[in-house]
Amino acid sequence: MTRLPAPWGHRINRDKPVSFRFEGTKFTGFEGDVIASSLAANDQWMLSRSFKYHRPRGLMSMAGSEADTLVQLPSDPNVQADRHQISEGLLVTAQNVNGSLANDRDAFMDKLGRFMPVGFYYRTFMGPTRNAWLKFWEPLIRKKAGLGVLDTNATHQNYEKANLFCDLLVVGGGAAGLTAAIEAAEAGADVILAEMEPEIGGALTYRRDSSDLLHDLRNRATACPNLRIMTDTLVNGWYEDNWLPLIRGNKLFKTRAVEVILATGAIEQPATFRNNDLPGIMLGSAAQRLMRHYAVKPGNRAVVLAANPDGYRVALDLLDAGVELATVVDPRAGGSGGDLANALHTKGVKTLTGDITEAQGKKHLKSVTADGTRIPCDLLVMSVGSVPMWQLPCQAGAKLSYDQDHARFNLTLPDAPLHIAGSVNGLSSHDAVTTDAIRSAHQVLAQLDLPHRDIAGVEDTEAVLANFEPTITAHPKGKDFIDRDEDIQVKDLQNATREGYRELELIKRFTTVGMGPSQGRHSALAAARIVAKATDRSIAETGVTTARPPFAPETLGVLSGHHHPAERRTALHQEHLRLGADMRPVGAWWRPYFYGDKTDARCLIDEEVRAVRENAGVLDVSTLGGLEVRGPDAGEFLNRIYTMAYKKQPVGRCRYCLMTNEMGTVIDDGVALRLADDLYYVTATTGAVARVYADMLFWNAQWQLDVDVLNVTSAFSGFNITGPNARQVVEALNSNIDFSHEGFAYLEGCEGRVAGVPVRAMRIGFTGELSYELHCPSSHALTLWQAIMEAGKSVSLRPYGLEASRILRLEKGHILIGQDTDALTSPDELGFDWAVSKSKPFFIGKRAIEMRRNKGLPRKLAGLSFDAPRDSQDVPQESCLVLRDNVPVGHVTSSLYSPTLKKHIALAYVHGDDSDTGTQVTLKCRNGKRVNAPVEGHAFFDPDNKRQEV
Amino acid sequence: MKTFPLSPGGAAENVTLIDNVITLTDLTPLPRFGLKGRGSGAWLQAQGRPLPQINQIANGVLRLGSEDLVVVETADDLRAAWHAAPAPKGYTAWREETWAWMHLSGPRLNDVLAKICPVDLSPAAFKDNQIAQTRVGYLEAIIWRHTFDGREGFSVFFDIAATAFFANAVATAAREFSEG
Repeated sequence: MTRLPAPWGHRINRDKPVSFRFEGTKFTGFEGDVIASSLAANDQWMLSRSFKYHRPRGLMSMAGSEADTLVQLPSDPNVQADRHQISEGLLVTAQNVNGSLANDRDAFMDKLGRFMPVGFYYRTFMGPTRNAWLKFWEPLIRKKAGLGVLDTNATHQNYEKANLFCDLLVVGGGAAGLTAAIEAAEAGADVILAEMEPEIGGALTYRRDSSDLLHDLRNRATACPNLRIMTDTLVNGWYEDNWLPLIRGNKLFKTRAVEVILATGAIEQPATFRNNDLPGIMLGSAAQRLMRHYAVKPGNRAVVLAANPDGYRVALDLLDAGVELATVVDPRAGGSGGDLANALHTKGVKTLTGDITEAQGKKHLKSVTADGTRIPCDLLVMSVGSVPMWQLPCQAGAKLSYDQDHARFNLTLPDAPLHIAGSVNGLSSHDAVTTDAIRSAHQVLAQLDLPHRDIAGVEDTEAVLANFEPTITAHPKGKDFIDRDEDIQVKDLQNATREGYRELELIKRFTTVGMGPSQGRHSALAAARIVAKATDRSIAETGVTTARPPFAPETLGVLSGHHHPAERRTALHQEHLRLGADMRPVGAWWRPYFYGDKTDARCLIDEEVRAVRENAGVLDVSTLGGLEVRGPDAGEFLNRIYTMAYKKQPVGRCRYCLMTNEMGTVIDDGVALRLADDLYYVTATTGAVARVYADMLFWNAQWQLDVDVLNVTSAFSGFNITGPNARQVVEALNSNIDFSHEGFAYLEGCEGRVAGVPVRAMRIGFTGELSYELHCPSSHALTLWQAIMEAGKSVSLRPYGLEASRILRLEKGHILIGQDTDALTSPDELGFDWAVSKSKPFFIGKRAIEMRRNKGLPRKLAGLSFDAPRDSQDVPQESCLVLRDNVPVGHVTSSLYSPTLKKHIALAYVHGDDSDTGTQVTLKCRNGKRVNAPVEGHAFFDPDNKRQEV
Repeated sequence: MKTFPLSPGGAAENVTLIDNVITLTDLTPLPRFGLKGRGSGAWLQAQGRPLPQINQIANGVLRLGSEDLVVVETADDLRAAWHAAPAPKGYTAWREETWAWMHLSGPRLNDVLAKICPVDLSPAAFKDNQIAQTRVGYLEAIIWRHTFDGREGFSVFFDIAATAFFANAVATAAREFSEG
């Protein structure tokens, strides 16, 4: 391992060696090294193989901008080797290789380029060969997709989220960002500065002659208490109202800023020539980063392709680092290196006016051809121009235009609390960048009503020289890459235009240019130039493709954060546990599934069903949605919300509620108890109550009735005492309610006190048995429950769980909204025409129900039963198909074994013409077997409803 | 006898409230009285309770909407008076049954709240008399500044059925800071 002497390499700690493995070989770097720098220091330049042709690839930007530096860690695919720091024992492997990186068995693909024309997806999947998708292409593409390999056994990691707020968010901690942040903070603004690198300074940390300015800015930043600096922090998008996601490690900071300054800098662009992707060919800024950040000498003999002053500065840096400089090639007519060129000349460096047409080498650069002359070298450094980091500004609505005279893109901002500063604004010299940043900061201060001054726009003479528009022509032998991620060559884009594609958005989809991980950072400008030339338009007319978030790849863990599945407990949660309940989550609620030892589940559930059918059981129904509708117009309101009539419902009576939406689809059901002229207590299904409540608020706002609606789901607990002996239980309670048959008839309800607890009592149930439902404020639930259990001792009252409840309701043929209904179910399909008022002038869905009724009945929910052994597989289960002439016409919505009836029972949608009782229908079991069954009514047990009304 | 989630026999009986970098204090048993619907505000004013602006708290009255009010001090006296009064007087909002009430304080309060609440609760942005109807701890919640038992912090109303969930969510959010 060879390194340049200090002060080169300020990011590494030479006192702390770090060992790791790459492709099985042990390497040693220093603390602070990234994978790519430590490998380069050990002369390992090849990092990956290209996506399509499996060509050797190495670092180009050292800024995490291209797919070539993506490597595999044991549990993390697609890690950027030029940004990820090494750690002791780290295991790194190359991606997208068949065999090993050094000997990739798929390297022959490089010879087959002419058999892989551009437009692969369009040609393959939209023509006659599209049927080859499943058998041939899908497995192949699945293997290639994503480059890295996901570790499905990865250990759990914690991901955090937090919210941040500030007056000003500055994105980018380079000269412009730092200056703007300091200027605003010193004037009193609350400022956050986010920088994706591990240190602030941006290009000042590696650019020549920048250390004094960097030192000064860092000192000023440290003295600002209201400037929060977040390094290693990626700002991964811009969203409405200046909401920006800041990602640091496993933490996402959801940041809301009053004002935003984007000082995101510029992206240096590569040159286009044959074999421009060989390891050893890199951007000027990459060479400087290697040297100044990591003390890595980027090569021994270099050629510098310089089309701007920065190229000459890089050449001087290389000389300082002891790199032999073969020549500087300047493609501009006459060259214009100025004083920098003179400085090079005095050091004996030749400058050649011309261009590089080809590079040579197999796994590393051996030489380049410049103006027909082959020049041996192991390093080619390119400084030919840059584009502003347009992604975030364009996400925020900025427009990108092209300045033909200066060969550069310019950004025009929308009228918004958004600003740009520095090189993203087309500036280059330190003075211009700094002045522009101060101007931007004071614009922000003005908006924040803080002390500010007007600062004029900036002229930058160096910026005029920063960009150069090359003539891009396809090399006859190809391999002149525009998009390294996708292996797109010049001819690919030209061919796309010959195929008739003119618009860059379509060319992107056809060729996949800009679709790789770098998202066009290094290809957009060149692609625009090629397409503009091929379609005889200007680059301004061609433009670039749309920029959308995210700016860079982000992990699903960061988006997800902590996994917090909602959890709600009824007031009796601990009591259920004490009684041995097997608690299970049902939606957000934890509910008793059954009571007792899990190993006896079936037996216990059967016993619970039998207890209800033969004696008495009690179910915690506290999870039922509860709503209070109150006010003079409460009856009218319910009349409009539900399908039945409520305005004339007597006080003290319960009435079924069926709710449909504007399409006439059933969306909820429940029971309304009228407690007073102006007060209804309405139940809703557990999972739908939030939606029902929201709908009620919406319609109440529309209708402007004198009604107040309140969601009291958590406020009230409820218990349903059911079974032939239920009356004995409730009559044994200390209560002021007459629970006798004469005093409390079926579907009646009242308020009273039980065991000193205020209750709302209803004679309703879901089992088909004599049932009393007692609701009380939840803080009294335990008292009421204990009183019920005490009162039930004489008849051995048994608590039962959700599974027994599901069986009991299916035996009785009661539907479950959401299980037995779907997004199209009409009341007619349920056979619920009895629940739909024909006399009311209006309710939500009335018109749609009538219109659907006129179109005929496409399907209907029917009861079916099967006399098969309990564990038989020849019984259709939930979601199994109902067939008619071998065509699916419906499906099973509920299917269970009835311990009461000793047979399997089900509800299923059958064809509308098959819905008459006795009609034979065919169903397909999960094992593929077809079985027949006659259509029955919904109620398998006590169809005459005699038991619930005793 | 009333049983609240963290009371013996309550739904969250075995849940321990965090008390290190942040302190959670259960105030659920404290009295409060909610009124909602037409006539609520006028009736409360007639009781000598001036109403604050919507989404503000003053003199123990939280105003959540034009006719949506919660009284958190001397609520029991008001309740009796309300029951005895003729309409119009609004409708009871069952806030003492619907919501749990927790107080949050502690040295890392701001850091933890930044993780579990999307509202800027800094003193500059969130004044002493403000109320935010938002999400706290992944739940719909109402939050306001509240000094309880000499401890500056915030009070939160949220779904009482989610008491255990809320306590665990706060503890999970705080773990990052308690583990250094």
